[in-house]
Amino acid sequence: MANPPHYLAHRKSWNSWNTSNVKDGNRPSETAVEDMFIRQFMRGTWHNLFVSEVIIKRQHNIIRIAGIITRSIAPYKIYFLTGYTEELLSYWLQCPIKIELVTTDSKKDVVFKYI
Amino acid sequence: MIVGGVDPHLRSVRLLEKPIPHEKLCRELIRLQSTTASSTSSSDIYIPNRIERSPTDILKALESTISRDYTAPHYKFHDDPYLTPLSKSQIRNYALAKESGKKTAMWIREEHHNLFQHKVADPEIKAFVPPPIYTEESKVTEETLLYEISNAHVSNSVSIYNLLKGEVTIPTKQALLELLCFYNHDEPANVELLESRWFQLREKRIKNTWISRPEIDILFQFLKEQEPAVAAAAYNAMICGLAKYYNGDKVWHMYKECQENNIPLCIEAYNGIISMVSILREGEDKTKSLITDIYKAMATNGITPNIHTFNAALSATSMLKNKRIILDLTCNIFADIAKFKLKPTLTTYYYVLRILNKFDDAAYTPFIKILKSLKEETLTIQNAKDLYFFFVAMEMASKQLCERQAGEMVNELLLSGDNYKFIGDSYKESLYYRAYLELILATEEFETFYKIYSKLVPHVTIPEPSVMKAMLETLQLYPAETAIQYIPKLWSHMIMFNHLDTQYLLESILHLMSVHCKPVSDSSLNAQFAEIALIIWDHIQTQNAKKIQHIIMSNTIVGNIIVLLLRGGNFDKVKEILSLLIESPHLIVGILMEDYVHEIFELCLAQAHTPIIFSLLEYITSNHLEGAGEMARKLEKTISLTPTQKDMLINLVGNDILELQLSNELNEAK
Repeated sequence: MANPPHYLAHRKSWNSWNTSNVKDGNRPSETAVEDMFIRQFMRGTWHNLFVSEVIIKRQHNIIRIAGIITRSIAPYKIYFLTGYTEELLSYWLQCPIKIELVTTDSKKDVVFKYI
Repeated sequence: MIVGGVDPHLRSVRLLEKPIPHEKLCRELIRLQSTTASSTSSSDIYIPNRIERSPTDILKALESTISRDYTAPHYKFHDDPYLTPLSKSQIRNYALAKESGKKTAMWIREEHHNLFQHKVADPEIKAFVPPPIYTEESKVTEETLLYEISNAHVSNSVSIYNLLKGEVTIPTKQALLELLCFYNHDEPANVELLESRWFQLREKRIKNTWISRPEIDILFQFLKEQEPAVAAAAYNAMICGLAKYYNGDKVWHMYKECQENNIPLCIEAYNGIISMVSILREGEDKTKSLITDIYKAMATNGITPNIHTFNAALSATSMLKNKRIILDLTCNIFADIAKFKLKPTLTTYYYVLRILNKFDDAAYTPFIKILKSLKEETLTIQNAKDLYFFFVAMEMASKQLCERQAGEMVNELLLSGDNYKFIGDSYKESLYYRAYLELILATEEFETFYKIYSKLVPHVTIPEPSVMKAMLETLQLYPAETAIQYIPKLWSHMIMFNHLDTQYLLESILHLMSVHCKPVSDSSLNAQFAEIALIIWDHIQTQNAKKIQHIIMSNTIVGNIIVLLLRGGNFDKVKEILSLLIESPHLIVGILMEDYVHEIFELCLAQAHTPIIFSLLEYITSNHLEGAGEMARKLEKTISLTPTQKDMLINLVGNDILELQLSNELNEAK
């Protein structure tokens, strides 16, 4: 998070993984807008839960949304939100969506550097 | 031909491109020589035929390279310590919570279907598009109705039919009648909601659940007035539907009507009628004649029976009670199956198992024969009852035959190929594994059992309290050294699977620790056991604090807890427990047994812990138990008491006992 863009691939990785922006890539602008939409959606639906960036990975027609969340709500609620997000986003983006989560006890676990 | 990947000639040319030191060249040449020599020996190269691969073959090949992780949860859960379910109820809750989220999303799409009309996917994917809603304004045709019927949307089909005011062709009316008869009052289950189906408890009782809907009656009345072929099809649909929802009387009525009017029925309708024979309850002897009558009717109409006909007949047979009639009928049915060269399905064998169930040990040989013949077949699902086979087979192997080999054969059959789909639902799966674990426990050494147990638990199944109880009871039959190894493992599982509220399990494990595996007094195990006892006591107290109705513990549980705590040296807690027992004796069933009281006394006396002895004496006197006087005397003899303590003792047991003792001592002195 605390790295400027030119450190991409050096000190941090990409937040969106897709091949839209290679030469003759498919739907570059649509992909960018959809990724923005997904991030907004995740921020709103998983309110105050994500402690990492929302990572969006696209392979063929599957979109995998990954990230680290805190354990501040009960596990069954996390499962509810997973089912809800996967289904609703796949209606919206019309392709299969998968949520890949890792949980952590406190926000501090993902802070690696203080400025 | 190029052999060994690279042409030796080419290789030597390439070698000449760069100047190479002499030595290196020599080595290279020797190497080349050896490769050519080895490859000429197998000069004939066989090029295999191309193998047709399916799109998922590469995934299957990859999957076969990884072994199963027995510590991971089912793949539908997140592999994260916080999100891993630990008990049966959690498995159910989490899986259904996820599905509930899915349903919520479906509901939102239905409520705001106008917002989901955008088209991103090309070509369009039907599953992502909101389902159409039919109102007064929507333009519908017969095609729309046929489309909805083919997708099995009952309510949509009915509303379109009403919008069309019933003006459709006869084949469409027949299709709608068939749809309504098949689903009657319920909508077809959504195939996407797997978890709801997996955890659903199905109605086991056979009872009439047919609801007569006006649409069905109107359609049927109309169709049966038409030409004979149409009327026959309508009767077939009605009989099949009524039989599916167990409306025996109406099925029989229609069957008679068809016979009177010479209406030809199809094989499915006959199968439905045969399956109703047991519901009509006409008496044992009549079953056989009824089935024979139907067979005759089929023969005169030129209908060839299929395997489902005989399955239905077997189902009627399995309901009978007279063993002679059952054997007779079953033999006839199997002769017929052989005569028509039909292949028995899992359902056939399920009913055979139900029949064999009545024959105790004699069932063994046919049971093994069935398993052997099934082993050679690839099973396909043909009937809803197919899902009952495996758990019934395992229960038979476990309870009726108690034969490890038979159980292992069933398990092998279940795990071979993709037979696991026949396990049915979560309820049947847990019945299956309960029977399997109990069978192994009863027939094998505990060590072997535990190896199998740790592969299944918690990866595949979670043991029910009854299985846990059987395990603890079996451990009591083993010498203490063996049993001690397993106590911590089982205890951690009991905590994990929430078994702390089950009293008989607590009783068993406490008995194991305090009586069966009693450690020597200076063993470190005492402290560990005391810790377990403390956890149990604290758990019960927190439960009591939460609930209005208190848990009433058995006296052996409390006795064992106190003894274990004392052996582990936790005197403060024992004092607390005893004073609680004196204050509220209603918390335990009965009173502490004499053995425990004595052991508690001896343990305290050895440690010279007078406060607990006083509490114990108070408990004894308040409950009018015997032995207080003797204990008091012993206490006074062993430990020198202060005057206040002596006063307390006199208050508790009365002066006469102590004085008696004093006078005895005086007499002895004289």
